[in-house]
Amino acid sequence: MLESTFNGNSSGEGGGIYTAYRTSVSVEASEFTRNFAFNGGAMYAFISEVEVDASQFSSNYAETDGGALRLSATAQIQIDGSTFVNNETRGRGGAVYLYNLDAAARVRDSTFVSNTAGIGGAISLRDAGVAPSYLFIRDSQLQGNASNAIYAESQCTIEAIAVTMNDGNTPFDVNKSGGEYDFPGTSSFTCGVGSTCR
Amino acid sequence: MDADGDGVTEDLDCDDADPQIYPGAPELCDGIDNDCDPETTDDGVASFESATEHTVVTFNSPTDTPTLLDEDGTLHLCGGTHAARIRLTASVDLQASPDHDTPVLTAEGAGTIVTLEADDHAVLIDGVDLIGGRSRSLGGGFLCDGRSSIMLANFRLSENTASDIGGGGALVNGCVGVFEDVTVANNVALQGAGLAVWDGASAEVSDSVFTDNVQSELSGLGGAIGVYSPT
Repeated sequence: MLESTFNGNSSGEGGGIYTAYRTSVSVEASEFTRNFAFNGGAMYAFISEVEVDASQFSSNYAETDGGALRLSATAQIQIDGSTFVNNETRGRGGAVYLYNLDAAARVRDSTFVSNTAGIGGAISLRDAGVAPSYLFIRDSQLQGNASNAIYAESQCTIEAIAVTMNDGNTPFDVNKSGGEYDFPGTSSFTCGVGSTCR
Repeated sequence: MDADGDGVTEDLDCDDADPQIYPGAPELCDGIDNDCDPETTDDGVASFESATEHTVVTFNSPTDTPTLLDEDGTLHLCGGTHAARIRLTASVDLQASPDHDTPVLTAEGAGTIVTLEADDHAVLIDGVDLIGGRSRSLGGGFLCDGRSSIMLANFRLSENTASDIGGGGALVNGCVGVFEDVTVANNVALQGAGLAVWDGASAEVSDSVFTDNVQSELSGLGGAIGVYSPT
């Protein structure tokens, strides 16, 4: 998808885009606004490769998880130079929900502002207790997201480099047990070079 | 003297160098006054141009058998609404006339508007709106089924419905779709309400708008676009 607009679309999974089973989706310079789904307001990806570049996600809504993006069992996730504003879900990941990843998710040069969720206002990361999930986030800003800028469950690893997480985020939270699945909370978070985390 | 051999002598023929032009000739969608009468226009005309001839196309009613185009060429569509279902088994371009308003192809809810079910063909739909298609299975507006390619540009794909997959359109079984400057709006399906890319198909989308596409039961996959290859 290049320089395209997704507005007001709705579905059960992936209000804008649903992609699954060894598929690959690349989104560049596109806008997703006011899309709705029960999971993944703008996009839902399952067993797929996803690249998002220079795109904007605003005011998308998911009833369950992933206000803008719900990405699970994906082989590759790369989010670069993108903006997430005012996305919302009742469940996990107001902007992005990452679940049970097959490979590390990478977020770079991106901004998360005023996204809202029950858990993980900007990003929620969770695994199924079989293998750990990894998130590398760098050169990004998370501001005014609620509740929690980033929330990690089970045995996830998060590494932040040159990331600003302040200016109104409710407290950052990791190492929580995994909700209804009750996995042991062994997640780790590294507030790396150049980062401000609280 | 009848230089162009169209049966009309030069004193009565307004263009004795073109056999497609003479008094009483059928109006083609070509921007030319074919019948030597400026009062008749080619609004609402459809004509097919192959390598050897250019002839008027009269579509079957959408409720009848789809109109079959089985020869490589260009289907010219002049402004107005064309009620039709079209089945392509060749490389055919569907082109809007630049001299008219945007033409609309509609199946009036009777079936898929444009169907390409063949391998190794290339189809272009340029400037022709596809509105009001309806499928009980795949592709309300269009269906590309097979290892062919379809390019869609500068048009509107709206108010189409599929009971299962691809309300606006469906690319399946290896079809390659290219979308440029397309508006996909108000389509409905169970999966891939706007566009479905299924079973090894692929799509490139640029400069396009997907708006207000809705899943019929809000329990399926992909409001604007569904991409799915289960095997």
